[in-house]
Amino acid sequence: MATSATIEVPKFECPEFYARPLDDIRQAFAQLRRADPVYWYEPGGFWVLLSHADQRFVGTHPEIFSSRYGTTISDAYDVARVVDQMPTWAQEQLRAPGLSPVEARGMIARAKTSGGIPDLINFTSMDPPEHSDVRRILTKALSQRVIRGLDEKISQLVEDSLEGLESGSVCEIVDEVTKGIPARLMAHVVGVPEGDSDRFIGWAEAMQKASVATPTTDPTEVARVSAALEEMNVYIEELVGARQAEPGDDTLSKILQTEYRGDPLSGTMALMYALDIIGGGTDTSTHLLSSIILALASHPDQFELLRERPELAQNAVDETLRMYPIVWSVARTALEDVELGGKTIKKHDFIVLMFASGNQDEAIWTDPETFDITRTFDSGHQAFGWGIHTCPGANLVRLEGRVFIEKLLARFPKGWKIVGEPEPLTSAFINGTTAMTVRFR
Amino acid sequence: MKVIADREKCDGYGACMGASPEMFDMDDDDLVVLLDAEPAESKRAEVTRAVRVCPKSALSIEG
Repeated sequence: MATSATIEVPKFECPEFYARPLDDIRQAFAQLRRADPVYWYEPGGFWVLLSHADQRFVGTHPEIFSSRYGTTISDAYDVARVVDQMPTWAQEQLRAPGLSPVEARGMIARAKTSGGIPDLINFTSMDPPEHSDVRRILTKALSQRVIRGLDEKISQLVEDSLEGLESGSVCEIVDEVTKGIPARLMAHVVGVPEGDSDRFIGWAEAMQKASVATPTTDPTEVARVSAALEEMNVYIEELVGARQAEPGDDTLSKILQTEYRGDPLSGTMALMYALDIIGGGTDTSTHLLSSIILALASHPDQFELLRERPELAQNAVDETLRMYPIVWSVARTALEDVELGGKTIKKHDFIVLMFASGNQDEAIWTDPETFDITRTFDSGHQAFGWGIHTCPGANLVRLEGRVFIEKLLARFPKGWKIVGEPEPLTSAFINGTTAMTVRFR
Repeated sequence: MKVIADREKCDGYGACMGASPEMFDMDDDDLVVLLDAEPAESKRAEVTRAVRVCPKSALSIEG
């Protein structure tokens, strides 16, 4: 067995590392996974779990691995280096004397996912039993029955977005196609006119940026992000108020009419649900749709196969999710000493679950580096996480992806080509493309 | 093959429906219901996937 001293260890906390070609990143993860799958990453002061099995173990034991003290890799930055980027109310609490490192990490995570709202604790930062009660309301709002009812709407949105594109068209696909579809779908879900959906795009991007505050972020960027969040909060507060006063048929109205532990939803909780639908469903779904375009252009044999066997469309979505991560990793904190892979993880240690590596683990996947749309997913991929925090919108975005593929295939049976290189998003949390030019055949 | 759903454990995540929409659904309480409690052997891989994907381990297979 090679030791980790002889291989290149990824700079896990640096956004720049993740802007490298995907093949290089997979390679770097694979080397470390084979050498030292439960890896103590000294520069960041956290563990990195690279194997599928260990990630599953953590996912199924929320009573040991808590979400209250940080959920993303960037929550582990030194408080002093990122405190200036936090909302003012959080800065005060973070500068209070006597705050332990683990509490500080929790406070940073809470502040970053609050949308800037002081007493908002996002359910991503909760543990059971509280998490289960909060989450159930969202699950119900996004149940399979609700999702099936959105099929037609998604078809229409995809068709509208491809309108005007024909054989020979060249377009920048992110701005022109893949940003619009999820934003308009989320506008439909919260029951606002499609015209408002463009604002969701900017806000979802701001939420994504706020969630990955890094020490090197330009202060003008920080100010821009927090201004966007403030604008979003004003909008969401008005939206929630309007839906509470006059409920519609939309999913948000249904959420707002539910009870939490026997009482009507508090204003803050209502804001949280609206925030999570807009933030969780917009930016990430855009990246999946862009990745589908990239994956099928990069693997012409698989494109041909899909044309012959269109029933593989859903499988092609899952294979894209496996090969082109949306979320690189999430993180948890150990609530007690725990043995993993022969190592002792100490109480309060921070643990990063590198999903992008679990999705390439040769213990689970045959030829993990091959993009194969006939692959079976009996063990399930890690793209949506695993366990109680698994993405509540997973089935919705999988449907969105399938319809997208079906419509693309129908319209462009000869496929498409990527012109030049896609522009990568530079983030240690989210993988995606900020710009990609496509020529349709 | 017999599928068993523990509705006490179910939290309505709907992951099973994603894996096997013909076999699993949710009722009005948003808890799992089996559309086919004794699926054909040919469905074993699909049902196994649904069982494994449940975040609450509320599903199991007998036989």
